[in-house]
Amino acid sequence: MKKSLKRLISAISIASVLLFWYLITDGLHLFSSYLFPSPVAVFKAFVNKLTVTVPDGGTLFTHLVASLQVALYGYFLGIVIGVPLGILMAWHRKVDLIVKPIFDLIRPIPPVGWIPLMILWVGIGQSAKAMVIFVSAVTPCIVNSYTGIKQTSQVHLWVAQTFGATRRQMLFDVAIPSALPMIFSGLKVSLGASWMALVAAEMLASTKGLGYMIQMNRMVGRADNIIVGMLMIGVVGAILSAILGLVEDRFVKGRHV
Amino acid sequence: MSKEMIVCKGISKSFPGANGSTLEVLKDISLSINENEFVVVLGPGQCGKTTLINLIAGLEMPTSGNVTVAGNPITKPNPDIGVVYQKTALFPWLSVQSNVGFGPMMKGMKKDERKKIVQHYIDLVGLTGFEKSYPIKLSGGMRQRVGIARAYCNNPSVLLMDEPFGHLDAQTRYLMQEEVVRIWEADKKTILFVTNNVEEAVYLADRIIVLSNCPTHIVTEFDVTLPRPRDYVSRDFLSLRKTVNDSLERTR
Ligand SMILES: Nc1ncnc2c1ncn2[C@@H]1O[C@H](COP(=O)(O)OP(=O)(O)OP(=O)(O)O)[C@@H](O)[C@H]1O
Ligand SMILES: [Mg+2]
Repeated sequence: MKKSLKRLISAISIASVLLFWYLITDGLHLFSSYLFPSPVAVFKAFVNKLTVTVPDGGTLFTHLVASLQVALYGYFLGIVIGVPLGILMAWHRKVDLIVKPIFDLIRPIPPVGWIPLMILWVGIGQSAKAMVIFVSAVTPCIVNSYTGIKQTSQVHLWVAQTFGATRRQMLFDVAIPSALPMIFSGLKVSLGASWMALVAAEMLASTKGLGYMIQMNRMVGRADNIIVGMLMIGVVGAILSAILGLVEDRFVKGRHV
Repeated sequence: MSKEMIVCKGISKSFPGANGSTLEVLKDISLSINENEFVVVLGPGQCGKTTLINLIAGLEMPTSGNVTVAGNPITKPNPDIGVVYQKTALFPWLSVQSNVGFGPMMKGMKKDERKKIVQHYIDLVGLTGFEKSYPIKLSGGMRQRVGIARAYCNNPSVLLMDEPFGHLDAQTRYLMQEEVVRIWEADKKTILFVTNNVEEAVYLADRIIVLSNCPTHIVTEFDVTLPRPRDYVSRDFLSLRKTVNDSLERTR
């Protein structure tokens, strides 16, 4: 299918949701405009929130920046530790034997389950959130890098060996490039998980950020601001994964026709 | 008398099988291949052809017996022995030229130095113009050309080919058989070529070694003296093909 046609279909689908939303709110007045504001009201709240700090102590932009900072910080920490650890576990039997049991035990704990402990240790704030995001990000990075390396084809390793490759060359020139698509899919899952954990963490343990903003507006009954916050979370999440997609296209070659 | 390149002396290979048993795959195989000879090993499916290749390549060790190449005992893989594999063993993440240049890269050869020999072998296998393509865009026949160029580019004295044309369609297969003879005549190497296809064996070989089913041993050998380029439907070709085929039939 042509790219322009795909874009057109996406645009039509988003436009029809907006139209439907408008119809059941401002059009037919099926709900109280206080509980379910129309798209027009939400847009007004959005413009308003760009400059006004009431009732949550910050403009939309300050909340967004706070969220992005902490999300990217925790996410990159998760990558920097998770990817090499996953690769190492898959490549060295000993590392695998030592790390695997600890990892298997910690893995089932949902990232939000760490929040109470983090609050106790570092208080409500950016570090507590960053730790929670790190925990959400690191797991998919480890799992996917590990699986990717383990799936390296035996024939590829044979070929490298017959060319006299050292074990180091086999890791860096064969196993890692062959695992790259898998590693990238881990990065994508991690990104989604980080962004979701962020919102959860901000609702429980924070003084700023998009999650905090929607939580505060619930307390004062501002559905319009809540929806602005939610849409912001959705749009920024989509933009982040699109950027990651571009990075992937740059690095992963020869896998799609 | 010409120099012996590959010598296998009484090699056997067993693998640990299910519930403690051992699976004997190769049994007491002795063979000797001369320098620049083109030898085809003909054997039925699952009889241990890949295992034999891996033993000579030094990727696995025989349970008993020993292998020497150019007089040196084989204990580990050696860049002097090139291998072309059955299925596409190309690296999908590398372009054609990077795949072909993989061996020299492992040796640490510089990029601009590499470029010249890489181009030479890409031209030799007839892939000029596809240097920057990725394997996924190539047809099965073209991928095997890349595999051959990659093995040649390392300039090994021995080339082991494990059913390289097994999964190609008949038309492409004939074409590739002609090509492999052309390439071998242009750049002589000692070749051990494994196949389960009698016609392919008769077309390619100076000598055919026939293997039996598991545990695999050598049944018989044929010298092929037909002049090249061979004609698939000449009377001599067909009668030799029948003789070889009959010897194979008895081993089933
Ligand atoms: N590493 C291994 N461990 C256990 N069994 C093995 C191993 N390698 C090969 N085998 C067994 O040895 C037998 C011969 O295998 P091999 O791949 O050498 O046969 P082949 O003739 O190349 O088969 P094909 O026609 O499918 O290419 C098979 O039964 C296989 O399952
Ligand atoms: Mg095989």
